[in-house]
Amino acid sequence: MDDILGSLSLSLIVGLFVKGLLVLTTLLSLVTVRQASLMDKVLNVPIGNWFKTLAWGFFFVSLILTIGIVLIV
Amino acid sequence: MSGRGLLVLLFLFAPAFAFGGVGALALFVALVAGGRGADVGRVLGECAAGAIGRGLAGAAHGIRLREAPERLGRATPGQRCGAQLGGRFENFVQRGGDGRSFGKEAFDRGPAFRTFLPFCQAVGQDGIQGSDLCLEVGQVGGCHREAGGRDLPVEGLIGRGIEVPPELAVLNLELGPSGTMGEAPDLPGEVPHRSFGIVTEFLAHGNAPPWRVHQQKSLKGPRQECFLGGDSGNNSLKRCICQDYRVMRRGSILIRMIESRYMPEVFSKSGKSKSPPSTDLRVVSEVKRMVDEGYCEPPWRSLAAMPPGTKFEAQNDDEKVLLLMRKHPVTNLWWIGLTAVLFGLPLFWGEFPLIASVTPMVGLALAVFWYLGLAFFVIQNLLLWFYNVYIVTDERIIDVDFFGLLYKNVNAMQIRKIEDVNYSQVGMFSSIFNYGNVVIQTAAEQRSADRTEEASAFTFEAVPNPDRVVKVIGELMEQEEKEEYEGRTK
Repeated sequence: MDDILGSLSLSLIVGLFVKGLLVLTTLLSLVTVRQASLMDKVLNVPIGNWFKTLAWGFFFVSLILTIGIVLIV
Repeated sequence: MSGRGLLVLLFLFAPAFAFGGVGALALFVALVAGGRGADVGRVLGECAAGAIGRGLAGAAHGIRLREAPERLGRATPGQRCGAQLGGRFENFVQRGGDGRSFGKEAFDRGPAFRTFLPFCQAVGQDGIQGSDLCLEVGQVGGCHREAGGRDLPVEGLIGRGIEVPPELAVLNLELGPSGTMGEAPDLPGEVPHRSFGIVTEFLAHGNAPPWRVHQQKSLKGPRQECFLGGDSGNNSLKRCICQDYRVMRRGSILIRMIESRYMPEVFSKSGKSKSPPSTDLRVVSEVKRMVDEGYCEPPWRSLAAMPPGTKFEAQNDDEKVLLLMRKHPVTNLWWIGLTAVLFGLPLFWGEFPLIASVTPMVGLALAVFWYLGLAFFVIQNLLLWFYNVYIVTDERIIDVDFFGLLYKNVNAMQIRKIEDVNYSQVGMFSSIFNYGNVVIQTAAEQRSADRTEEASAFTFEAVPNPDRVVKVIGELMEQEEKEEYEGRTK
């Protein structure tokens, strides 16, 4: 037990914490995609597709960054 | 680092992590938004229905894409006259129907340049090739009897989204000499179901006439930006037909739709037989004024009159959006400012010993998360601002509220159930930027069932020009009462 605790460092804990939050952010971005789609359904405006594109772009950026951080850090 | 220190770190930064956002993406979003916005604004902002009128004036060209005799009823497709009046254009398509008469007076107003080029009624199953697109441009200015006196179903000229594929842009529009019409080949592609439309502009493309670009750049101001064909000096035709048009893209044909409710007034004196006004022809003068003043564009404005191409869930077929409102942009300042502050915060992370002590890679991960969260924050607020709207149609008022990711509340109410409308402007900002709350009260008044804790279920919060909104609703109420009295309520 002491060995485990001794091996813990601030960087390790913060790193794990950040990774978890990044995954959470990615999930939220996916929800945002769905949300933008539903909003566009409720109110269909000419630039609604742009918002959907924005949401999808955010999701993919989040996904890529999350994967990168989780694998590298 | 002690466990206690870690706890402090987590407690200090977890909220920030949860609500923060990340700059690179935010910057990207801003850049993209700016670029697209400028582009869209450049195109959509050219609310210039008059371009064709003035553009064609003097051009002495005629364009006919296709005619559909069987669809035109009593109209004679291709029939035109007035070529000798070169420079005056009357572009029209007629179809059979029981609409208003498109009579002599309408043409007597010349030298008005009317650009009146609707599509035939949406027969659309077979697309353009099925000859539902009967689009003519010809010179008939000053031609009374020949072109006038035939029934034109004005009521049918309802603007809907016309989707014109880009292929239209590459049509070889053969522009004939003065007084003649060029024939275009069959239009390629399928075009979805459509209603009437009015083609008012042709963007420069290929063989397109050079006047187009010139007119596009020269039009400024609401008067020139949207009107029904213009009036060339006399102010007899004031109706603004700046409605429901779509710009497909550069190089394509720009389609502008026409709203039926504005047509009868233009041609109201021309009827041989006057049909009683119906409820779907409600004309709200305040809305028309707003349209004349250019309140119809761009689509992200916080108060839009007759916004083009806007539909909402559960909209009736013949229901028309008169006003689309959202909170004044100034109300977004708080999160924009907060984002700006949070954006620069990582620059000072080195001042925090706990953060400074982590490895560079973890610091990088922390920064990535920070800016991603910030971007999420920005997108959320942007979406919520844009889609939290208040809609006034000719039948109902609708209050659409979104809260966070997973909650929405939509209230709808018939105009006739409105008892009273008032508005309030409280505070310095609302006075400076002229926005306020419009409270609509019903007979069975109750507080909003949503989370807003508004004074009424129909409180339009922080909408620009609340006085004008109240005026529009007031006019609708008057008309509703009148129709109810006359027994014409839907």
